[in-house]
Formats: sequence, structure tokens, C-alpha cells
Amino acid sequence: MSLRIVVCVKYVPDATGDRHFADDLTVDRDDVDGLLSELDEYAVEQALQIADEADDAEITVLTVGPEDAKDALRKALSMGADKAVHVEDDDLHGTDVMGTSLVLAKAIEQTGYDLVITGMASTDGTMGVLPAILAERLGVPQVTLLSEVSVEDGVVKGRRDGDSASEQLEASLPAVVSVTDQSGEARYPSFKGIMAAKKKPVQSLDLDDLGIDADEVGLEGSWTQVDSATERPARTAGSILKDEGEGGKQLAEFLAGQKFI
Amino acid sequence: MAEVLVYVDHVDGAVRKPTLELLTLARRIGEPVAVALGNGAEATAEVLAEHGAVKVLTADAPEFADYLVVPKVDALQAAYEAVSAGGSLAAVLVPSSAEAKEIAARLAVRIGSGIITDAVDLEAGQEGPVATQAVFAASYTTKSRVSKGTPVITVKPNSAPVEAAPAAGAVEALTVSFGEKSTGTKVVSRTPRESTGRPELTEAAIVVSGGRGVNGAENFHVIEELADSLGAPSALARRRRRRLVPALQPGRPDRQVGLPAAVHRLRHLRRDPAPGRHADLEDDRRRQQGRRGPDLRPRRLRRGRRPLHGRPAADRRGQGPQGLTCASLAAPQSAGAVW
Ligand SMILES: Cc1cc2nc3c(=O)[nH]c(=O)nc-3n(C[C@H](O)[C@H](O)[C@H](O)COP(=O)(O)OP(=O)(O)OC[C@H]3O[C@@H](n4cnc5c(N)ncnc54)[C@H](O)[C@@H]3O)c2cc1C
Ligand SMILES: Nc1ncnc2c1ncn2[C@@H]1O[C@H](COP(=O)(O)O)[C@@H](O)[C@H]1O
Repeated sequence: MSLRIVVCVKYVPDATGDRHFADDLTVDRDDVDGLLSELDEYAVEQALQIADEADDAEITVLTVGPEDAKDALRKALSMGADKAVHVEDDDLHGTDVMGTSLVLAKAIEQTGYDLVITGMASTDGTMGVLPAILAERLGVPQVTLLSEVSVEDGVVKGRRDGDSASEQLEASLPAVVSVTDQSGEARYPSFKGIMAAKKKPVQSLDLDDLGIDADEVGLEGSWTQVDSATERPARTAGSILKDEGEGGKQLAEFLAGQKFI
Repeated sequence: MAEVLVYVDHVDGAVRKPTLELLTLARRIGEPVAVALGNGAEATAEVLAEHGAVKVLTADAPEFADYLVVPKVDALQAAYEAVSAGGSLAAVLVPSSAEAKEIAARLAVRIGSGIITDAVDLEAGQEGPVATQAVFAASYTTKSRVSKGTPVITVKPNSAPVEAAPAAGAVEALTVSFGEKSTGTKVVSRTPRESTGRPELTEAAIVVSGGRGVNGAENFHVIEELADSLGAPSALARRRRRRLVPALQPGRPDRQVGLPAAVHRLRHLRRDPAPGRHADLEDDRRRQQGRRGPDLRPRRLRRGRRPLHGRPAADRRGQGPQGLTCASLAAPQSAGAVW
């Protein structure tokens, strides 16, 4: 039996660009260049490694996002994933984490899965809770925030480095796994990979295909409401002390002056 | 007066500081009812009472330690049901630690409530608690509310002062029945993290962070020493992953800071830039863009990232006799969140 892996990847505005909000207080995804969330590259990488170890595996990358989110799927395909599913629907604009997780869960169920892999957090919303919510919705074990992961004989094992302890975890498949940025460098797509990705299938789904009502998602269906977004005033430059022999003293004076010490 | 459920983050009975900060915020909304789970749960009551908990619901069972997250969700749900049966539960507040956030999120799904994560402030509002979030590397501040169900809100460390506010803090045992899914993920072993004797990076008010400016891992001790003298944790400044200089892997910093490590909002965090460079990546980026003029290519062609480092390596080094060219600090009052 083939191991079916679904990797959730998010298309996010480039963090080195000028990220901002649109008039309706949603993220402006039109004016700012987007890309595959950096933290989701780790999820794709671990999927590829797990697939390498398995006798037979198939990796589907899944995104819920606007048209341009195809770029994120392409990147994941060019890294080596086999196929992609793109959930796109104008009614999804403004969806919060509850709506997004509902859509992802339906799409994952429809695709069929043994293992779901996600990043630890997106680089735009940065909530870091979607994997736990997916596990709750799918009714399968949550094996999250792993810095090491392996799958063998239908069991997923991994190391979770928590705030106060490092834990070895174990669960039977099917399961939802999230991996951290400590799980291992993500590969760069090779030229061959990039060419091959162009021929890989990308399935498009909308809300109807998933049997979800428009009023369960979007700004209207959102269970949270953003009332305002204010840009931070320009930051004043920090002080730079150049050490020409007296740097230590200057630094101490600075610290004392600012009441750090 | 309405009640506010506060999830307690503790290690064997020792309550972590962010939970005490949470009690300060909870008191703005109603009467805090604390929920403490696992080994040492009852031992938390005294300090919670000193900081405003009118009641402390406790439960301990092997499941909390032996299985990941879900048993705690079952227990928090039991607390939610017990308190909301009284009819006046205003919110569920949870510290923004990795595990507590996951617990909060799963509870929110179960009780059909919206969730707001990583609030940095909280006030009572006409239509329920209003949460402030610092987003996009703190370049924006948003105000949000939960519009469905009982608001579930997770709050970042250092969002409010710890305040003494003595209350009854009556301990009550919470009855929990664990669901069928609670044993799904087994914790096979647990190794406590070695304490560095410094505050946790995620909870610290001051962080001393060093990077390429120290010119090699062997010099990282200057950062450590400064950190120790301030009673602060040290950190390895991290630019984007691929640009991290491999030779500068930790002397022994407590952790890395910077995108995309999950340690965002710190009150006085300043990254240590290389000499002559500004501390903030986004500002760097804007300045560089300014220097070159706007990108006039059609958006579709603007995919690739621009190089961030136009400067020759030699220019980024250069260490003075006291090894301190790396220091860049900001006044406490002006320091916002950096990544
Ligand atoms: C600044 C900001 C703040 C927000 N705050 C809130 C809030 O407080 N409450 C709320 O309900 N919503 C909030 N949202 C909306 C929420 O971020 C989105 O609905 C989002 O898709 C899910 O949350 P996340 O990206 O933070 O997920 P995270 O939990 O951070 O993501 C973890 C992983 O889930 C997967 N994933 C996440 N989104 C997608 C996707 N669209 N497609 C495929 N995989 C995905 C990825 O693998 C990712 O690594 C916020 C959005 C922004 C931009
Ligand atoms: N047209 C769309 N199709 C599918 N998903 C979308 C669309 N617009 C936004 N989203 C997703 O909905 C969530 C909220 O997006 P936004 O409204 O842009 O903040 C994110 O997960 C987006 O990726």
C-alpha cells in the first residue's frame, strides 16, 4: 500500500517586502509579492525524506489561497512533490483560522491521506495552531512541532522540543504532523525538478466541490473580527557604538543611561 | 460579575510568569478562575490566589504526562462546561506558549468559538474583550474581537505587568473524563531542558543578541558575559536562514532570534547587526529599495528576492579592542517588537 502524504503549504506575502493591509483589513495579497511560506519548505522537505524511506509513497501538496498561490504549489512540486491540489474561491477571501482549517480538512479527506504534514506556523498569520485544529477536525493524532520525524510500519515518531522539555512522541497513522525550522534544511529545486514540475497535475477545487457553504467561510463566516489596523510609526534608529578602545565603557554608560543596569 | 477562565502554565507546580501577567489582564474583564492541570496542580493555588484567582480548578492524572495535548483539552473543556453552566463566562485566556496555544485552539473548535492568538494587550469592550495583536514583524498593530462563541484568546509574554491582587483562590477538584482520542499521541520519554540559569528567551524583558558582528563563534562569549551581567538570556541573531554564516553557529546562545523562529515579541529585543548596519531587516530592505528606486517590472516578473547584502564581507567585520563593535541597543521605552 502506498503511503499517501498531504503537505499543507501556504502562499504568503514576502516578509522582506512591504507587507500591509487592504481596505477591508485583510492582508493585501495583490500588491505585495507572494511566495511559498518559508517554514512550509521544511514540511515539503520532510515529506520528501519520508517518501524516500517508504517503499511506495505519493506526496500531494495542498493550498487554500488565491490564484497566485499556484506559485507556492509549483515551488513544492519542483522540490519533488508528485501532485497538487489548489482550493480557490472568491468566497474564501477573509477567512479566519476556523474557516481555513475547515476547508483544508475537507480537501484532505477528499484527497485521501495517511499522513498530513504542515509547517510550524505561517509567516503571515503566525498563529501556529492550524495543525492542532486539523488533528481535532480530522479526529487523528496530533504529532506537532517536531524537529525530527520518521515513519515506519504505520507509526510516526518524532522529537518535540518544547518550552520546558524535549519529548519523544509516537502515534499510529493516520496522523497530522508539523515540523519546525530545526528539522533540516530544505532542498533547492533542481533544474530538472523545475522542468518536471510543469507537467505535474494541479487539481483545482472550489467550495462547491468540497460541499462547504459560502457563509461558513470568508469575512462573513469568520468567527473573529478585525476592527482596526494601525501602522507602527517609523522606528528611530538604534545607537551604534564603535569600539575604538573605549567601547566597553561607552556601552556601560549607554546601558546605565537607559536604566537597563 | 462574569468569570474568566485562565489556563495555568506551570512546571511541577511552579507557575510561569506569563500566567501571572494573564491574571492581570483577566481581572480587566471579570473574575479569574484558574485551571491548573498535571503534577503539582494544587501547589499553584497559593501564588494564583495572590494574583487574583478567585477559584483554582485542579486535576491530575497520568494521562496529562503520558499523552500529548488532548488530555489537557479534555480537562479545559470540562472546566469550560463547569463554569459556563453558571451562565456568565466572559472569555478563556491562555498563555501563548506552544503547547497552550494548541490546547486553546482545539478547545475553540470543540466549543464552536473563534480564537485570537498572540494578543499583546486586552481590554474589556462593548462586544466582548478587544485584543491587540502586533503583526507583520510588529509593523502593524491590529485590534480584534472574537465574534462567535466564548472568546478564546492567547496572550504573549510581557504583555502586562504582574500585579498583586489577593483573592480567595479556593481549590476545587475538577472532574475530567478523557475521550477516546486522548491517548492518540504517546509521550514515550521526556527530557527536561537544561536550565541556563537565565530567564527563558520567550519570557525575558531584555535579550542580548549577537551575530556576525562578533566575528566568529569563539568571540560569542562577549555576548554571554553581557547577558549574564544583565540577567538576560543571550541569543544568536539570525537573518534569513540561507544567509546565516555557518561559521557562526552558536558559541552557546540560549536560542536563535529573528525570522522565522517562533519567538517574536520581546519587549527590548534588539538584534545585533554587523557594524555599520541598521538593526532591522525590513528597514534595510526599504533603504535598499530607496537606493535603487522602485521596482518597475510588472508584478509577475518581480518574483525573485532582491539581494539583501550589497556590501563586501570585509566591511561587515572589524572588531575593536574590546570586542564590542556588535553592540546595538535601544532605549526600553522605544523598543518595540522585532521579529
Ligand atoms: C496578521 C494576521 C493575524 C491573524 N490573526 C488571526 C487570529 O487571531 N484568529 C484567526 O482566526 N485568524 C487569524 N488570521 C487569519 C489566519 O491567519 C488565516 O485564516 C490562516 O490561513 C490560518 O492561520 P495561520 O496562517 O496563522 O496558520 P498557522 O497555524 O500559523 O499555520 C501552520 C501551518 O498550517 C498550514 N496552513 C496555514 N494556512 C494554510 C493555507 N491557507 N493553505 C494551506 N496550508 C495552510 C501551513 O502548513 C502552515 O505552516 C490572521 C491573519 C493574519 C495575516
Ligand atoms: N480567492 C481565494 N481563494 C482561496 N483562498 C483564499 C482566497 N483569498 C484568500 N484565501 C485564503 O483565505 C485565508 C484568508 O486570506 P485573506 O483574506 O487574504 O487574509 C488565507 O488562508 C488565504 O490563503
